[in-house]
Amino acid sequence: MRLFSFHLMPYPGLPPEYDGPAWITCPNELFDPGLGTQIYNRYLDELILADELGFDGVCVNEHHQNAYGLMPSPNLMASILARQTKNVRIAVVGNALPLYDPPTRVAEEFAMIDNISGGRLIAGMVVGGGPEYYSFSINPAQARERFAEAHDLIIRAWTEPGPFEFIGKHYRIRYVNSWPRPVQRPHPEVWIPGAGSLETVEFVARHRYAYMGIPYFHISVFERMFNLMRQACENEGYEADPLQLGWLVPIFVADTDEEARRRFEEHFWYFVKRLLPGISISPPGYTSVRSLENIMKGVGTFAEFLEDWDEVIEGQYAIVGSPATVLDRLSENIERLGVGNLLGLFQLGTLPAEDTRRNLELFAAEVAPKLRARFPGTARRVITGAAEVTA
Amino acid sequence: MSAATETGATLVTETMATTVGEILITHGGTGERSPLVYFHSSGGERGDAEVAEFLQLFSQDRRVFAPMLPGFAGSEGLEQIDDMEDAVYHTLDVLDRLGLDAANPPHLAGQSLGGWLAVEIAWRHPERVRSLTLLSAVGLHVPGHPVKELFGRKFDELAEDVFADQSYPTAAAMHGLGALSPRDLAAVPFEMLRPFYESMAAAAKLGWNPYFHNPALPRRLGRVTMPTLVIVGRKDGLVPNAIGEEYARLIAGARLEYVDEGSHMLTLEHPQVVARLMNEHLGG
Repeated sequence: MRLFSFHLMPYPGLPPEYDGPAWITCPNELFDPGLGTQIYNRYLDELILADELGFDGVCVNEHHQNAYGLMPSPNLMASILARQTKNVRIAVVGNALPLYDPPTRVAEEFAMIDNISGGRLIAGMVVGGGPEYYSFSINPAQARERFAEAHDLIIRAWTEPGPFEFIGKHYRIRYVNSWPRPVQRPHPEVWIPGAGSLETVEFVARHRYAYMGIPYFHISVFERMFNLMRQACENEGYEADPLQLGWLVPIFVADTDEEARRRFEEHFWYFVKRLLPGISISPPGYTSVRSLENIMKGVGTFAEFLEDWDEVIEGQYAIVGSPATVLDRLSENIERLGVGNLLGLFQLGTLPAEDTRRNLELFAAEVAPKLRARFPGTARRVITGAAEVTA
Repeated sequence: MSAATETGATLVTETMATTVGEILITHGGTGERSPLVYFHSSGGERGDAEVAEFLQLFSQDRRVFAPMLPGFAGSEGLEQIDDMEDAVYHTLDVLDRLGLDAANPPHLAGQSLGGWLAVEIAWRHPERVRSLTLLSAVGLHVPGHPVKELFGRKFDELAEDVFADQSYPTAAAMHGLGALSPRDLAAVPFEMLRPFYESMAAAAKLGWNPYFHNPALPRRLGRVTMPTLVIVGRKDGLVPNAIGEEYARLIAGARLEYVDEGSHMLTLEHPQVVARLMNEHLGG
């Protein structure tokens, strides 16, 4: 079992009177640069703390023109973390490949981070969220083919001696010759986040990468998603390794169940009711119609539509409670889902710095050692990316 | 599949082989007058449904054809269509197969996206187009008069933009969907929504970016030499009248007509008014 601390770097300062979406058209006049300076540094501190507390890794991700997550460039964050952390793996989950033109930029920047960190990068690659296709005016009908072509180009840039010529449908580069090359050979472990699109699952299985389930749905949706992934691996002729599966979930630990809910609940509601609206827009052609049909089955359980705390607990939208409660809930779900990577969101919405720190410390001291003992993991049989991984 | 109509003019809807795959086409009518080809909008209105009445207004004295572009109404070949250029050459293939070549040039009429397609064919091959009718057409960018967002809109808000009468059946159905909570919308049988998602995915290939226009089009319109009729609805909430007015300005001799009570989907809501204007224009 590998334990990661994932940070979305949310904007906590949306005014109460604003009730529009947090994406695409959320007016950027609502962004306060003074608050920005404060929270960027604070959020980085929270990731560095995870390193000091012995987490296996930290995660950052990419989103544009929104209040949900302030990392249009996760690579900037990862490069800071490459210097300021010592042991953790740095998972960039991921770069939205179709938004980089040419995508050799991703090969270069990821290789820089891998070099600076001494080989601690996990290279996440993602199609990009629906809203990004509006924000960048990239044609969503080309999202999948751009992603696949960019992926091939990046892997070749890392693994084939340059220079070579790449002539694709979307990218044509006469001299591909990326400097630097990554430290991890033949290339860093690759993670792909997904929300249940069949094309993504099949792609991940085919390449033997790891699949990170995008959160904010009822636990049964995750279960179906990971079953799809296991089935896709079976179709490829192998058994999925738990380390090929990652579950992303908000976690909050306090001394007692009552205190945990009291300290956490309002920040959770800020997150789901203020920052999620707009995230789930699915531009035309972004998802194939066959995948859309599959995804639609889970849409009704999207966290934005939650109505009360009982629903949150029942659907495992967040794991909240005393160390014993959190350990039990996590253990049940890890078993149920069969995942080998737990990606915890220890800061969510408006959760303040002190509560976040205490949450991380309690989790590291009271929950993590017992989780590790309960799920010792096994030596890797299947290779994700290509780097050898043990847990 | 065929649909006999009560007006006496029989329209048939069936599949037809093309280079990119089988497409759906509605056709029929009889008479000596030059044939009419109708190109649908991003909404994918069908010749055997939404625009059946409109097509029948012409099928008494001429043949009519309403092909569905790849991706719409089950027409195959969308994977071979990347942009308007591909749609143009696919459509020329369809016209070739129908015998509608330079020796027998048809009248072309198109609504919204379909109007843009018609004009893109017309400047490339003016000899193959007897006349041109642009209905609420997109295709031009007029600064200060942007085409409103089509993609990702709420059903009810979109209906307000494209229909003049919200009790028109399609508009009413869209209001019904718009009134559902997200949870209830997720519970709507997928088959009901499938045509809408498929149409939007196909339209996005042609119109996402540049957003429903061809930046080079103003420089090409000098080649549009056939009689041209531009019709706009004064209540169009999606495509500003300024775009139709710009077409009329840039195409020599073009006639501009306004439908006072019309919104965007003119051939659905005002088939009689549009047909009257067109019949005058089409002549023989």
